[in-house]
Amino acid sequence: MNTEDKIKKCLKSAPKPAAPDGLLNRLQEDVAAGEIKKRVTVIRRWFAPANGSISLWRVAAAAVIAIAVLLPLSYGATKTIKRIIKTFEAKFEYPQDDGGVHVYGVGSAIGSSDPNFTEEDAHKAEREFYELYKEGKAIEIEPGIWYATLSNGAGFGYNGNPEHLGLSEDERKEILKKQFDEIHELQKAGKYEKTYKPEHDYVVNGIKYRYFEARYVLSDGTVIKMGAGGEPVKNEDNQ
Amino acid sequence: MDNQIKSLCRRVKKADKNAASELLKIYYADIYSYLRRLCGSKQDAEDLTQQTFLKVWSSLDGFAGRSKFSTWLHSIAHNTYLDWLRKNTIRTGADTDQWWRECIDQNPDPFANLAERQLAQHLYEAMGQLEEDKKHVVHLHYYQGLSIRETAKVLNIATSTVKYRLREVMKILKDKLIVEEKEL
Repeated sequence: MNTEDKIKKCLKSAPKPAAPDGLLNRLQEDVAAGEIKKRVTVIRRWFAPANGSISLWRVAAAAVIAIAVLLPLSYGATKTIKRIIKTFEAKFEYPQDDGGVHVYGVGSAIGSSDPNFTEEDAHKAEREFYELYKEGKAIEIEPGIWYATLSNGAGFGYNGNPEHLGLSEDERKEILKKQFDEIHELQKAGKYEKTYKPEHDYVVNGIKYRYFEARYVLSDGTVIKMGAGGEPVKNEDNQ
Repeated sequence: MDNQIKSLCRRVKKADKNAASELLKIYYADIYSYLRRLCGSKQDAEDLTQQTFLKVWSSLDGFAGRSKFSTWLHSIAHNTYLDWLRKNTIRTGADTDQWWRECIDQNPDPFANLAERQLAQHLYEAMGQLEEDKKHVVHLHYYQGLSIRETAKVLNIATSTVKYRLREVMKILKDKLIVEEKEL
């Protein structure tokens, strides 16, 4: 048997730590206490359909804005975005019964205050962020939103699963397609939570927009947050 | 077995507590050992196991059965562990935890001789020092016995990435063993 086979044999026959006495009882108590039924009720209330429909056309733009503009602004890395470079983009379309099409867009874009910021710079920054993430030097500032300081002192925010940065474009699209299939089903069923995020309000062409975020819980427990459309603010700010 | 699990899942969705209890009996020990090896403490592993099953009960409605129940269950346990890890960035002892020592006291020794047992202990120790992403593929594929495809599904990565990480791990472990043999 060669070394590799020996290693595999040892790993496969690794002993199992025995569950402590009483754990099964504790878990069964949750069941007996009605956790199944009670939790289903809570989830259904939490998933109550939001009023009105969200503009899915805006989801794409909002998701990109969230990554490129809002994060750096929120965390003080860059005050004025002069250049935005897309490093990844995918679009998933779902035909509707009424002939329309729901489109979900997702992308990574990097904003910089440097007007000479190039595509190469953007990819380099993304690669450096991924390396920092792998070394455990990126922090998750809120669920699903990661932040790291690059070697040139710039702040880098990333909204999504940083593991995906290590995959090829096709692999990323394959995974995202599966997630969007499920998100679309949840969206149709109204099973998502929509929250106004005043701290992420943004201005485009002088018009201030309210930023909304949709939160989806996928069947494997993964939580996906994404832009759920922006609405112009109807007050003196936009007059 | 698959049909039995599917049937139990259908019954749990209808709030059948006996079916939930049956599912627990089948899977709780496996999930506990997965979390125990990862988190470095019995107490945390118990809590994480409990949190995992609470999430299972609350999200079983969304389990469409496209993957095996055990794969879905491991996804939830994995995400529960990651959430815990993020909240416990300053941890002590997880890298030096010797979970296998508890097992030798409680379970029959799976190794035929002293040399094999020593090799195994070196490997488990080395595993504790691996980067998290490499560690996860070994825990799921070798320790938990999931296939490459199931491991990829749990980690939400491509099967090619799982294979690549397993090759990397193998190289690290082989190098480590060679160095240790030379030192001896």
